Amino acid sequence: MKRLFFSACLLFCAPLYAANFAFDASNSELGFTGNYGGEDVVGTFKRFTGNAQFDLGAPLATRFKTEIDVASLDTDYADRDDTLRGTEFFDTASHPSAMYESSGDCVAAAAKFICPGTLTLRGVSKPVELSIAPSADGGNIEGSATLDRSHFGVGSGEWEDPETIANNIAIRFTLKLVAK
Amino acid sequence: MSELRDTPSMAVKSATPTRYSSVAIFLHWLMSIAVIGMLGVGLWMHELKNSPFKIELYTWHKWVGLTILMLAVVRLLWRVHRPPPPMPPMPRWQELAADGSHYLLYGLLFAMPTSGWLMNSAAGFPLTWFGLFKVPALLTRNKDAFEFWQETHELLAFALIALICVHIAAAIKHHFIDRDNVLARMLPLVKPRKPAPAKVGAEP
Repeated sequence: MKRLFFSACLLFCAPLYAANFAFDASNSELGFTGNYGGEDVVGTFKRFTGNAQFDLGAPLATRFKTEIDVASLDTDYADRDDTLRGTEFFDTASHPSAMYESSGDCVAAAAKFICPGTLTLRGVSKPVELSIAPSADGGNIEGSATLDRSHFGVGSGEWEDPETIANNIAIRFTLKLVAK
Repeated sequence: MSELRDTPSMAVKSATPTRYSSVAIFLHWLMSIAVIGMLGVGLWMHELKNSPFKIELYTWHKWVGLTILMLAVVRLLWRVHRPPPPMPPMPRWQELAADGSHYLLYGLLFAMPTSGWLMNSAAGFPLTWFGLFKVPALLTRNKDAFEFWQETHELLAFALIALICVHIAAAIKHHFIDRDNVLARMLPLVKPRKPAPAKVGAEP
């Protein structure tokens, strides 16, 4: 617990009493890794906004909220990006944004917080747990999550087969927080 | 190389072969099927809507392309080891055209797969040859390079199609109009025609 406080303090003690933070978009990153036929496919979302609430007295109540512009996805290959934006994947025409909100009931595990929350993607809301920790230099928050694309209907029709595209998608993010 | 051909057992048959070796004939026809198939599939597949089938086709296209590249190396080495049989006498311009088009065909047998490999590398796609060996990337991921090699791959494909048409047309012309041995040299299981009566002064 002490270690956790210390880590948390590295993150948040600079603006000691500030309890509300926004994501510094230009220094934050949100990426995903899927697996197609045994090969990793890596992408990022270029546009997302969010904020965090943090209380030094109750770090486990840390909350995150983010809204992601799904169409800003980028896997560095235009044809693939177009396919991913299409109806069989993210259907960004009907569901332009995704939302994640953590509930503020984090638990401490080693040097990490495990924070439950809800992801709304493609119009489907499902619980998704974040694992967060301060970055090595203490200036950022790094986190990860794993989600099952089939729960959100991402990749349907001929793309549904998990033998072709693995259902598990790894999410990773680096957030630079600025006091509001 | 000539020592090899002049071994006594060979000398009994004939001093110079009248046909391509069976290895050369096999490689020629195997690669002709593969290359024409690849050109057809290549022209068709990039028009397809993205689907697992399309991706599967691309994957096979890359595997077969790399295989063709390896076969091209083998074929070139074999050609050095066993030079082709001489061509029948023909006008000088035809000899030059035949030589030139064969150089180009060989060049494209290397350039087509290599440009595809470069294109795949620049796109940053991982590639495992028939799921067995990781194929190293020749370039780092780079959109401009990808577009350049994509364009090149396409232009070379059209050049190859044109050249194959010339190649086939010439073979047919030699076989049915000139009635010489040019095509028969490359046909499996076909006896070469009796040489035409020697034309005096046809020596280049």
